Amino acid sequence: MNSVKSAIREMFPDERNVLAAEAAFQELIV
Amino acid sequence: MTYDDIAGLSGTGSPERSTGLGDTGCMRSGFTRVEARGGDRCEVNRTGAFRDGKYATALPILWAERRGAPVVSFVRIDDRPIKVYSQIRAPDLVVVLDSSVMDVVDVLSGLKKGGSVLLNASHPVQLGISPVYTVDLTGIALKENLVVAGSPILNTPVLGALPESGSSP
Repeated sequence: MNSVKSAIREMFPDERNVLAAEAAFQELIV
Repeated sequence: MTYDDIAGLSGTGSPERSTGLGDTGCMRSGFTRVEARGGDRCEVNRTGAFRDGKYATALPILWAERRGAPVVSFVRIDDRPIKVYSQIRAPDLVVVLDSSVMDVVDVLSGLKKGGSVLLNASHPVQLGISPVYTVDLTGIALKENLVVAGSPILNTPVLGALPESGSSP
């Protein structure tokens, strides 16, 4: 997940993108 | 060995590589098909895979799609250089960014045995296979105000869901 966040920050500096990715990681339902 | 094996179309050319965990356990090798609609901004970027030291290719299928028309794209991640740029017939993972495409597209078509589905929906959906991972990407994008021209941006939220849901771009 850290590499994902790092990649997102690099391409999309707006921190909301990282927050959204973290939320998706947490809210995933199986 | 068939042409599909050589070209990687069947997804069975190197099964030990196509399902293995990456060194960090974050970016996994494999074949992914993304089902969405035009305007969903479904281009899933590959930078995370590169950061994990892997090779990755992304292939959006572009034709005369209109906003709202079903579209599809493909992502390959591997530990070795990828020389195949074709469509993927047997993906390890199918990502459905708009669940309404399931009314007009067989999203499970070609999915490998043991493959998984990541579905953007606000509630779990029974697809008759397992595992199906569900996450409300649209809701998350709206909550974070990730909206452009009235459309929620799904490509960054979906990246957060991919590491847990099987092979991922």
